[in-house]
Amino acid sequence: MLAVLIVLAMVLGGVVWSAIAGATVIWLSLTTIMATARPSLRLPTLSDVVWFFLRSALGRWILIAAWAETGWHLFCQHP
Amino acid sequence: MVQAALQFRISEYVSRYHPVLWLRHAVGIFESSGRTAQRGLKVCLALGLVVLGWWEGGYRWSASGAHWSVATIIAVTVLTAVVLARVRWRQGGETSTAWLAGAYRGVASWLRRPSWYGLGVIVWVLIAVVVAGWDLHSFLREVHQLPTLSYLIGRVTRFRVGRMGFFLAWLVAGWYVVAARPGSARPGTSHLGRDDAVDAHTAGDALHRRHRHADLHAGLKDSEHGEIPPC
Repeated sequence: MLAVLIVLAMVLGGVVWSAIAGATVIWLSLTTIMATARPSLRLPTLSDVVWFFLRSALGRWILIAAWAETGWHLFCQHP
Repeated sequence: MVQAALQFRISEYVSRYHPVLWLRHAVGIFESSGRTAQRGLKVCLALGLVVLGWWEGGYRWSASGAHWSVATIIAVTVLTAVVLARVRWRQGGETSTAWLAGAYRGVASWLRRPSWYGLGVIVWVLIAVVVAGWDLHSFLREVHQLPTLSYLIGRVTRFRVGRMGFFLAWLVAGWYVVAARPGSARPGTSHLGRDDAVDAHTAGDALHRRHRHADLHAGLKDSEHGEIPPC
């Protein structure tokens, strides 16, 4: 009941963002569980994705640029 | 008699309170309790981060203090990354060209022989595309019904604790991206987007080439100084 009320009170964008966040959390949990419980059916975890970029200088600089832009946008520009 | 007593007091003072002795004593304590000192250093670092986060949390996005502090952190991080990149290049590792080629080979290999793991990669790409696409769509529409991700985060960072939390998370993420070493990845986790056999071959080959290059360079340096490098 409370969940229905919350959904009704939210704007359309909020509902979509909640759905995306929920799906991402489920996928994160699934990949983490599969990596430890069923190594034969291993799926790429978030750590694998990050390490894919950290393997070379170019990938690392892409992550550093994204990190810097995120910080400036969140803490110094109108959010 | 008085002079002798005075000299004795002075020598006693020097032997007890001389700065060099203090320093030796301090170093001794530090060496004997290395773990305690390391733990203390970590506690100090964590406390320093919390204080920095609390201080930063007090700013609004428009404050000049927020601008120069974030800009300074970005500049220091980039400078550290430049220095570490040079060190990593000397240690050997994957070149950017090999990385791009490896990613391409991984995609081509998956298209030929689809795998469970490759399907997982596609889901990650899909999540990234959906987040970026919906954020762009909301940004372009500019209506209250469609808030962007940064607008939602802004609703949290307007409070001191919220801004502090995001700021600390951002700092830790930056430190990880800059400081994480290629060799510290868990085994079996570094083959995203690549064929295993190709990965091992290319990485081993690149490392061998880099070491050979380093040896040759060292040999050339030695021969410049008139020394013959050992065969």
